[in-house]
Amino acid sequence: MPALLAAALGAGVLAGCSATEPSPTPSPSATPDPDADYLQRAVAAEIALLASYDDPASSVADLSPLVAEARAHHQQHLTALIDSARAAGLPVPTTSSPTPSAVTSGAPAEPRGPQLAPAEDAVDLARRLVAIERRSSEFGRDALPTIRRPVLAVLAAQIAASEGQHATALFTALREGQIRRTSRPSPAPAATRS
Amino acid sequence: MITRRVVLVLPALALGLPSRAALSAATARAQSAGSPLAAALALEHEAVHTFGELGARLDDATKELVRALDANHRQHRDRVTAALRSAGETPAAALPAYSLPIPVGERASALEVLLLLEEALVRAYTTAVRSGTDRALAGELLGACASHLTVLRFARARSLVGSTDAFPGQG
Repeated sequence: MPALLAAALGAGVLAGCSATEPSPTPSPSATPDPDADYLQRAVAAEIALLASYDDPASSVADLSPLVAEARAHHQQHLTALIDSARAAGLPVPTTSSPTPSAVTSGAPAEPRGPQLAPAEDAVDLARRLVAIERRSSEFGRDALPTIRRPVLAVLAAQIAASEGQHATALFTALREGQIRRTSRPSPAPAATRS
Repeated sequence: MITRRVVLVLPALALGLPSRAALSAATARAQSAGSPLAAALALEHEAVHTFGELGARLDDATKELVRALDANHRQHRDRVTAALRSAGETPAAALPAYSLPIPVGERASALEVLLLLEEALVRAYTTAVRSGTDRALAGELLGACASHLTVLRFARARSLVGSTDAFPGQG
């Protein structure tokens, strides 16, 4: 089994050793305080991620323990980001948008990918979550050089690292065969009678 | 394994030195002398040594995982060394010898030592991020070592639940 984990390393799931560096997330507009910009985008991203984990397929037995853990972490990330904004005297990012699409469209930039389709196959969902967690992790790491406050930089780095762990755990679960397909083959078309 | 870890960490906590729990005495001395990134380099040197030494004591399948992690740490070591040189610091070389923080007799204790090293590295890179020294590199390697923790915890417990952290390096 660890051989498969080693394959995960080769697949570049683990950060820090990839041959290509992620390109910086472009900032659509200059803001007086880059920390406020990061907080706004990070909060929007966490809300979108939480919504991604609400997909019905995430409740299947194979995925639910990993999903529960990741959801709890994202909720903690969200709380910490809002608390950090308050502590720094920065505007508290909006958290009341009712849908993920509304949240992400209101963000200055879209650090994530498109939202998940409902009732997706568990394996496909896990793969998408790996991709979303990795992009989210890259977003946080890319923001690090622009963040001014050391406390906020540490939080950003830890959130990015946590999301990298989620991606690694999901990827490993897939490689180990711990997540099985939930989709069923389409029924055969009815025979035509003459 | 929990019992072993408690035995190791509690004396360190009693001394007010929880961050040193995973370190050999040699690395602890090296850490006390440098910048946060230099301290991380000292741990990367120890990781390269320890992953190489313990890898030989593991079963073939686990050995393959440890070999991959060892290769990552060699890259980390080289990148941190280059970053320190760019910053005008003189990077320290590896020490001639490293002592293991706990006796290693079988697979479980070997994995425990590797986990302790990764946890120490996550804390070291967190400190480097806070200090602002090459924050991008420190953040990237923090993420890498946190992911190492996830795969090592899985290799130890055969469960991915509990293998991730909300805030790696906290506490």
